[in-house]
Amino acid sequence: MSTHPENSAAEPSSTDDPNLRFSRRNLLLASTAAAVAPAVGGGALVETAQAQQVPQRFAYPADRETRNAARARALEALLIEKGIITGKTVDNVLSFFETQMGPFNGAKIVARAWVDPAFKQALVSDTSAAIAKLDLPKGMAGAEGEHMRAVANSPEVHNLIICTLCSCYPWPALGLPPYWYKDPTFRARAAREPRAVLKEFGLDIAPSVEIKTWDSSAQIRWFVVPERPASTGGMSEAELAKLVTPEGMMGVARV
Amino acid sequence: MKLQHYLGGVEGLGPVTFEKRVFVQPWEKRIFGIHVAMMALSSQLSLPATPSPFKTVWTWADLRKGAESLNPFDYFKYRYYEKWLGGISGYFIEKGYITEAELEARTQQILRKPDTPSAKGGDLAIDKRVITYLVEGDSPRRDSTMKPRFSAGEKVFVKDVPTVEHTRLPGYLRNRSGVVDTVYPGTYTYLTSTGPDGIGEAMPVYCVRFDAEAIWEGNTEKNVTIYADLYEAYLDKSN
Repeated sequence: MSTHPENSAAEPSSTDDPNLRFSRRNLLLASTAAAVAPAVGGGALVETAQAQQVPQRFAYPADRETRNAARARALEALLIEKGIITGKTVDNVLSFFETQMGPFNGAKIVARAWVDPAFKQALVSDTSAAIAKLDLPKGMAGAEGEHMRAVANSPEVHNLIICTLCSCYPWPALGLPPYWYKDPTFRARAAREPRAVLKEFGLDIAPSVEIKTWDSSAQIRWFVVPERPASTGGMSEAELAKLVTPEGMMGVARV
Repeated sequence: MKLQHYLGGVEGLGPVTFEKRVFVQPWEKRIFGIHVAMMALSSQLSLPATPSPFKTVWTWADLRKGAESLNPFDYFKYRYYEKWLGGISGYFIEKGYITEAELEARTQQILRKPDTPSAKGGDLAIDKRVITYLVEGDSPRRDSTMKPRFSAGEKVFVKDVPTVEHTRLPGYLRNRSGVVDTVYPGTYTYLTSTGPDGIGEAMPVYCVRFDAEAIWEGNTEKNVTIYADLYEAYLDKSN
């Protein structure tokens, strides 16, 4: 479980939802629920859910997630009532990622690369053109997939995709980024000590293997073609696709 | 310049959290969907008009700017989608689509009566445009006669540009030398002007490779190469 409040699923308490554009003022405005002492600047102390004394800045109100959930619902309801979005917009978006844009597309791309060396070569030299030839849902060059590039692992090279500035991710091929990819600790450490990080993920990369780390900082959205696992000679392309994971296609797991 | 622009390479952070879920709370899905709708309805896109009163620009740059302009202590305090919830709510208030008072009143009402039914209705043209955006995307590529300043194999030096609130130049690459690996065809805009940081208008983009040992001498791992996609404004000739 996480030691980092930033990304933990299980941190026990919550934040008011400050207007982050005016963060400091609103943090203070929003903190009334936590019965904050008047002093500011990190010196004030509040009671947390665990009854520990901690500086105000780092305290989470006990109703953190309840309030986040209510605030998100309130926002969506107001946007629907004002006609900005519809009652179905959010569900439609989520359903699009469940059925049209997701790691199931990337899995098919990788499986084809495993069975067809010419396709694999085309995939790494002109990723979008190669993908366009496959029978995949409409939108493979859509949002966050306008410019994708695939890099292939080999016995000599292991590729790792990161985004140190935010969370750039190839949506049409892989869907939405998991929390580990967005974790500031991962983003910070994977750049300087990728082997140590991969080892924590259960992947031991020999010192003789070059690690190529791709930091997604402009228009390209990267993904990895992992190596085909041994003893899969008799498997069909569809069976192979079932082996491919999002982690494998980001370079943090073997397939 | 903020600590969050310098994340790559920070030391002493402890283990990484291998949380494979995309959303760790159900409400996070809702704010994600709202963000996608805003990007799709954003006024700079040439997609069919809809009856939605959303008439302003909202892109990744706005979301990123909101997070990057935070006090770093807040940036690292809040979970990923908490920053989205704060930034997006703040945008709707700032642009006058809703008020903080009505958002808070509705929040309190939902907290008091969690079984309040969800809002319904709306014009289907809005949902159609949202899906069209997802399918078509919004490529930043522009055709241009602009000749790239650097060529593949050339050594380049990364400038330390004066970033204020937003950048696409990772801090750990500033003042380092690398080698151009790929010159991407065409030129690329960025979603907004980053001011003195230097990007926004269409310009060439390069994939530049760096030896990790040259970035963190004596304090990295052997046999690691880092590749980053960098706008031409961030690069200079290397001596």
